[in-house]
Amino acid sequence: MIHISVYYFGAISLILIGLYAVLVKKNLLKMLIGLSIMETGVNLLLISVGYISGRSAPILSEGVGPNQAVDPIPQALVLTAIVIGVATTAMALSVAIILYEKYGTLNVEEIRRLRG
Amino acid sequence: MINDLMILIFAPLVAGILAWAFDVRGIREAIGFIGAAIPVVILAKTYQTVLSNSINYTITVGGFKLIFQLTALNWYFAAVAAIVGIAMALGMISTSRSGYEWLFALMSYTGVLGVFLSQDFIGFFLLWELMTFASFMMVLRNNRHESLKYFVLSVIGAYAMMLGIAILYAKTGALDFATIRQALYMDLSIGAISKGESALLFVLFLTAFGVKAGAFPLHVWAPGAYSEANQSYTSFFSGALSKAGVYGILLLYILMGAKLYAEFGTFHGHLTFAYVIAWIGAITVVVASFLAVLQEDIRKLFAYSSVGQVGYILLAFGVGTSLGFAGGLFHVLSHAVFKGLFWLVTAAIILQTGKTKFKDMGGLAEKMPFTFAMGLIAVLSLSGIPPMAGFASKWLIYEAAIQAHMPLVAGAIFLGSGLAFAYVVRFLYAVWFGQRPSDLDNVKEAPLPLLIGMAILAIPNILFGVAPGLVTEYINKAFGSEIVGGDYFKLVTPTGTYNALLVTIVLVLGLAIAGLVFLYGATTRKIPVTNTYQSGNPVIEDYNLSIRRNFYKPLAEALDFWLKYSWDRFYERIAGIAEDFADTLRQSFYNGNVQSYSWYLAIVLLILALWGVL
Amino acid sequence: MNGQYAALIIALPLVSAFFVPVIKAISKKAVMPFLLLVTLAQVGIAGWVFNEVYTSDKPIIVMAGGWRPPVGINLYIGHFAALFVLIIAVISFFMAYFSIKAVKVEPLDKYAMLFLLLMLGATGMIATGDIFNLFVFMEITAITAYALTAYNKTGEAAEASMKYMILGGIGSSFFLIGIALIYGATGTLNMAQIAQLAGNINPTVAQVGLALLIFGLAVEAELFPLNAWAPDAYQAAPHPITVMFSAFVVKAGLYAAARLLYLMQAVSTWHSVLRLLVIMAVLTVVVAEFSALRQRDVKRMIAYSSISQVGMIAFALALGSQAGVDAGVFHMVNHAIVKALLFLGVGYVGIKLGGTTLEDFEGLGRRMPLTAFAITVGSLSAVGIPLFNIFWSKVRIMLAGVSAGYTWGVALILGASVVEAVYYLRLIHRIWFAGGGERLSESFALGAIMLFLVALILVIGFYPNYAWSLAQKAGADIFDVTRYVSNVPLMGVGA
Repeated sequence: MIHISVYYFGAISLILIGLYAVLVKKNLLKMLIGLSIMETGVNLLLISVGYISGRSAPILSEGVGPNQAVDPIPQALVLTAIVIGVATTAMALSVAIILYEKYGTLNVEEIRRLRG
Repeated sequence: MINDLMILIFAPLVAGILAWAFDVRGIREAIGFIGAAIPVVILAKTYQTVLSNSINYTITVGGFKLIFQLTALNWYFAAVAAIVGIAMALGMISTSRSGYEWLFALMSYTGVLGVFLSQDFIGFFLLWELMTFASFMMVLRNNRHESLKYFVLSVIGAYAMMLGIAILYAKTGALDFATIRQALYMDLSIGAISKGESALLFVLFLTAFGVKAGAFPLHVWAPGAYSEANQSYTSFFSGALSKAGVYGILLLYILMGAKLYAEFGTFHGHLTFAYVIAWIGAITVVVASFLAVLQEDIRKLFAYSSVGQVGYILLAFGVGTSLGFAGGLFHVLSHAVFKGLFWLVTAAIILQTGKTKFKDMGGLAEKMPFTFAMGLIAVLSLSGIPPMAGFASKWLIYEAAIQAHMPLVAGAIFLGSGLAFAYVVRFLYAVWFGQRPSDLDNVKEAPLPLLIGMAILAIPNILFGVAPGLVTEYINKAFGSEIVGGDYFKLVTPTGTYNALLVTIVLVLGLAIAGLVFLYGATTRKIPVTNTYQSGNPVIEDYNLSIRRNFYKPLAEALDFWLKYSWDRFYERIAGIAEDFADTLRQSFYNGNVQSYSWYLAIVLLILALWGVL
Repeated sequence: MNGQYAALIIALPLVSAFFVPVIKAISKKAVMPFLLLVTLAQVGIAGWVFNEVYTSDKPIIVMAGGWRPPVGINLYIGHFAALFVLIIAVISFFMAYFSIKAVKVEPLDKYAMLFLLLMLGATGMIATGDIFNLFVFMEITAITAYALTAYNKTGEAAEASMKYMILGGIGSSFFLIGIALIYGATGTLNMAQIAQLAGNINPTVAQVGLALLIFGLAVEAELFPLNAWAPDAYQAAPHPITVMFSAFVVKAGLYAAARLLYLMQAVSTWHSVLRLLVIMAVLTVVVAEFSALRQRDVKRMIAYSSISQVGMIAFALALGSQAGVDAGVFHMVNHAIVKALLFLGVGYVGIKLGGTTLEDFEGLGRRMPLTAFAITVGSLSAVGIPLFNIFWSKVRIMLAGVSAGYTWGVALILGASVVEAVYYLRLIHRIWFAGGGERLSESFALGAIMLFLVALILVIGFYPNYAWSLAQKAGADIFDVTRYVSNVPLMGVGA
């Protein structure tokens, strides 16, 4: 049995890794990957919040009643969050394509026509 | 009765909006004039009533209860504004061709009346801002830089007032004058408002009112703003609108006098806070009068002069005795009428000649005799020559200063009067007498409405000069005590007596004798205009002083050291620093790099963690 | 009529958005009229909802699928939501019309879809009574906003969109963490129930949760220093979208932040959060005003001005007093009107003259008198000149601010307002007293919209009583949490 804190630890690590990428990497694509990693971390956190040690997935089937399953709501939330994340990422990547066309670079330090 | 006050305050504004909407020559002027005349009519009608009881008008707007009240004291201020207002409207018929100007001139008229009549801070602030804004728009039309200087200083003042109002509201829970006054009085024993807060309130309100009154060192907007507006409007701007600041100082006494006295006590036998006001007034008088002397532009000269004259009123109020208030109030009236008159005369000169500098003028008395006569009355009144209203009020202020044992302040009055004489003499000679430049040969007398406007302002100068008791009697009634004794023609104070009628008779007799001598015994010798002022020095081209050019240059040279320092330049530098700061701020913060922006987010998260909420 | 029909305020734009491709298949020309029609219908529904809520003086609780909360997700259309849904609908309608004039870049059908979804997202954020639902609507708003920011397909638009996306992405991630924590502690996502339970849960979790929720929303609500995306997005987005950003998208974020803040009053460090928000709000005002001072691009200048006004609203909402919230809501309404007018006018100038730099505004009074007049009224109102609407809300905010003990904050905001006066008045001078040019023809309908907004500004300015009573009711709706909780028919589950 893995202790629940492992999940929390993993989730927070993922968030911090993602944040690190956003804060340090100059390449827009790497920043976007960082964002995605962060989202994954958050999703993992959400799942862990609803995790109850020793129970199974919240799919009602033989031997799995409401009392044997983990909390289903976070899982529903995560599904939604994943969909939203996909949409954001798709959106971001298409913008990145336009940026590369217009600026000829993906270095965020050079993409700064709008300022001040 | 109740609707009277609403009509009184808002008639000019409504007329202004209509005049702006129907921007047709003739209709515009008629509507505007009617709008300016209505307050005069209503004030005349209520003259008898206000002395015995006040007239009230209350309206709830946006959850605020706005209270307007016509009492004996603010009737006086409103009446002064109304006299100048109607003269302004007559002047504008001649000098203005724009619905825009009518709109904002009349809007500021409404603002001034409303400020005088408000009995609560929200109405006061609202109309104060309206008045500021409207007068700003009059200047903006002609000069962006000067108008912004005026507006920024005014708005700093207004926001200082707003902060003061909000602090008073937080402390007393009230916004109307009566309750605040009572609460501050009660606070003498409770002490909920600390000494520091009282000082803060005093400074905030003093800033607010000082800006509008043009008190040193907040006067820098006045020369530019006064000279860059339509000159007919300036008669109102300088004659009536600046009185709002003076009225505010009076309000400060009424609302906070007891509290400020209790907190700061006395200094050499004077109320400490009043002492500050008196000195601000005295410095304003001296500084502005010196600067007025040195001006080469007729408008700038009167602008500084106006600042100086309002300084007299502040000084009088700062004396803090009832005689001081009486003198100050009288000077409110006399300044309004003589300075209003001056600006109308200036308006006439500029309208007919298109010139503003002394060096381009001369010999206009023959061409514009009526305007000249009006200008002469104004000159006499301003420089404090009996039997004009200006003498009576200055005399009262002087008496008050002497009686209160403030010799230095009284000295400032004297110095100011001397300087005033110096600059009006120059105006008198350079504009009206001497050789006329040939391009002014076709100048005509000012148009009729403008002349009527001048006459309306000239009459009180003489009337209240010969019979100053008319005014002091009203002031006595307004304060409910016999401050200045005597009758219509004679003023009696504890330290002196001034018999205006006697002086008038003597003066008329003297003039008659002098006239006879002149007619029958005088010989005249013509001299060139340039031959006035060299006292034996050789005349060279770059040191060519005439009454029209650099007349007081030696004085400027003597004051060289002081003229190096200018509050105007100081403020301009602060404004420049603020603008540079703005540039640095936005370019370094909004630097365009999304990674920096992400760091801002991270930093906020860090702060949240350190703050202890994370 | 049954109150449950109020769900149409969400359903109509959502369904219509998915109908856009169908309409396009029929006729490409019908897309924009369809947009206009839908927004008009939305105005009708919102008007009905507004009337219903304000006449009955009771909120409408819409229960999705007939499930009672907290099992089902509920919409809570109280006084605030009813008022703002109406504002959103009306402004969207105007902007739908403006889009016909202003947006020429293809694909218009995608534009219409995104437009409707943006409206939907903001409406949903304001109307929802469920914290995760709030997240979903926030993301709908955000993603459509990213897309619309980039819609012009220029480099600048893509750049602005990218900045918005990265900052918004970080914000929403942390918002979601906040939700996870709150859910973990209370076991519910229903806002009313969270309010009930907020006092009893582990204080650390509640604190962190609340702080993260507010952090996430503060990015949307343009609080300093989280607002760096905003000026770029405002400048680069198509003109009608800028109006929508300023008039209601940011307000939705502000409202959500205020709502969550007051729902979780019981959290022990509530006052620290408030103080932090006040500091951020004051800094927002000051920095934004200074940034606007020397701006050469008028659209960007007004964007900064909008940010500063939003900071003022946030200041009022974070005061923690009834007076502050009322004033904040009043300012929200006034600001929505004024900024809609300003961005509309500036956008129209941008279309007509091909740019929005200061030079383009020289002599505008002669070239486009009506638009110039509208911009002037808007600017004067923004400066806080009396007899224009913002005067009243500004005075209210100042009084509430000092009463709540933030004299320094009020002093700084007033100081910054001086700066605001300077740049607006310079603009007015440029419009009326500098330059000149040929007179251009102005659209009648857009002129009518502008005059309508001008009239609103003046009516509220001269006679604010009605607007103020609305603001008071809407403010009480946010502030009075007990009533909020009692109005939601919670089932006896959970705690």
